[in-house]
Amino acid sequence: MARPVAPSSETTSPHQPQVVLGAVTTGLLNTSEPLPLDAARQALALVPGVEADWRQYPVEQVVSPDLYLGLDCRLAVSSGSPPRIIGTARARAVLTAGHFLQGSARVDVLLGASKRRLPWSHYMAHTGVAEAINKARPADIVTGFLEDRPAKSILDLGNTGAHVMSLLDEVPQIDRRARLKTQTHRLLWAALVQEDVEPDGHVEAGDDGVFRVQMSMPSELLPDFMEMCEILALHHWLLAALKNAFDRSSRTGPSAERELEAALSYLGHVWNPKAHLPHAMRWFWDALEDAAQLSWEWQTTLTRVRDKVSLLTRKAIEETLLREVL
Amino acid sequence: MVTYTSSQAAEPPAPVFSEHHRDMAVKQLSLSHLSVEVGHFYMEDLEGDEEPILTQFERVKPWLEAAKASVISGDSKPRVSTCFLIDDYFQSWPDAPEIMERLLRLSMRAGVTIDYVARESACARRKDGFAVAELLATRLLEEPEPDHDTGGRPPTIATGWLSNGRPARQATILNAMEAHTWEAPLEYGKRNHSIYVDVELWRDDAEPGADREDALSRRQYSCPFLAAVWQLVRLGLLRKDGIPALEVTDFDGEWKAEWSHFPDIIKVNPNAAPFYAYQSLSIMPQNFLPIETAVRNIVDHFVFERDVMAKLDRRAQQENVSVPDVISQRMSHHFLPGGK
Repeated sequence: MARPVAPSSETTSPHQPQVVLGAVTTGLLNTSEPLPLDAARQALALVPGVEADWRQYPVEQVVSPDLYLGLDCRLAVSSGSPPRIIGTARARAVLTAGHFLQGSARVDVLLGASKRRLPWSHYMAHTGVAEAINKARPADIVTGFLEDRPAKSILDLGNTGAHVMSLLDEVPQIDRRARLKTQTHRLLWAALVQEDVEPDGHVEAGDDGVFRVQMSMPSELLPDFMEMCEILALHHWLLAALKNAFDRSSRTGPSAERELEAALSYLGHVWNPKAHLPHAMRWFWDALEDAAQLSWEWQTTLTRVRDKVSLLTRKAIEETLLREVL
Repeated sequence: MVTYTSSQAAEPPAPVFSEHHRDMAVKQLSLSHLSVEVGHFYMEDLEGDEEPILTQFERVKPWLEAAKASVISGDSKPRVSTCFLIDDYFQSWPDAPEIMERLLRLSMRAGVTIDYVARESACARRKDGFAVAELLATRLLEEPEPDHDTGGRPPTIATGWLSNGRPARQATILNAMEAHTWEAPLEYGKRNHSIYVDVELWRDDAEPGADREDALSRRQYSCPFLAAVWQLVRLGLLRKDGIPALEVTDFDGEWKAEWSHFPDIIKVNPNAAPFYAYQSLSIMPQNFLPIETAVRNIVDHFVFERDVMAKLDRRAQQENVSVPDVISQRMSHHFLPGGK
């Protein structure tokens, strides 16, 4: 006789993380022209047998399938001894407008599930989750993570993102001849998961140039929140890249025009933070714009770049005319 | 620092425009409650005397009955399918029709119905040339070293070996007083004492620097690795673009002379329950125990596809069947006593 139900299975621990930590690393794909959509979809199919997600409107964007990395390390905490976590982090590559590459990593931290490291199969059954085996307060984990003091055996999600970005180095369509000098940026985020709260968060711009985003929210908002952090990271990076190009152009003299031209052709057309902004995060973005005015700063900087290009062009024309007259 | 709180007024209106291309649609499979592998032979055994083949099937028979009786089937009538894996990867001679005829005749005589026949070679590369084994090879995640892996280490297995810990270390020190130091191996997930397992997944014969396709065509996978592919296929978990990595073809009434011309999985019993199943059982002689230990070690490092797992879980819930979270706990074995 077949039995209708299983013998009582082993005790199942609740798998609802209390804290979720993330890092978004953003940079320019090292190629002279943006990657066409088809090539991007191929390049970001980082897991064989799974296609990358993509969107075309209003800005092209391709998102790789999730990759996983094994973790056994410590979490920085603002007070007390650093708890050890074991499990996996998940990471994905996001390519926007064929040119702006992000490595976005996240780990869901589950507190109080077990007191020792379990067989690996346990963690593989709950990928993307890391279990802390010592006691810690969620708020301390958030603060400790966002402080971002690098130390031996402390969780390093920024590097996870950088690793995912490096997976695109081998793609044949990438010519490694980007004409714009940029730096890689990092954004850190942390979410306190509380099911019965109104979402509430803030962004802090540190003196190290890193944006830190923190929010309390119900778990269903996590994917939207993560996506918003990726959008913020991208636009913060775009702004910094444009400002840097402008600053460099005042120093470099004759090559100023080339710098500005590269900045305009690479960056000029892509500012559109609301393009893929999830609906549930609009209130936050609007409030952020109200205070930090990133879009205003972008417009101003872009105007200055264009003005400078006009001035430089006029100067060049005048010099040519002058030479001809003489 | 700026702080904002959500002032969630009314529900947001439905979006006017939406676009999101997710090309991977996970195929909903017909599933049995249990897939039973009814014995296993090396190719040379299949080509030898009939007596040992019949004997193994006769010994499998009572355990197959026991398996059917113990199926956990929730609200529905138990669905059990049987399968047999042909060992054609390491050696195969062109006498496939005779072997198939003999296999089906002897199993029938022992009272064991074989529903599906699959080829081990297909677990490496499909009949259409697709490298199935690489779906698993690229989805293996090494165990992190205690207090060491912070998230920056690339997650690839480059050596063709997969362990559950750290090997023993031996170093010769140029010091007459202390000629050798030795450090014990360590199983990372040990409970008190370690059982360190290190499994060879494949061997690469290609010259260093060969292109990937060339290297893969010359890669020789180990028996446990292909058996792990086999287990994951049976459990419906190994997919390409949402479709099972190996699919079932109905038997067309004629056995091809060459194994390589066989479909990947052949349905030989038209009345069989579905091939894919929530859980699997393999009944085989006990000399395969080390191989199956290695198989479990490999499966324990497999990164499943979230969408695939979610679909299976939902289906199981609808049917009121409980399926363990840990994949290797969905697999069970019965090892027959004695030799082969």
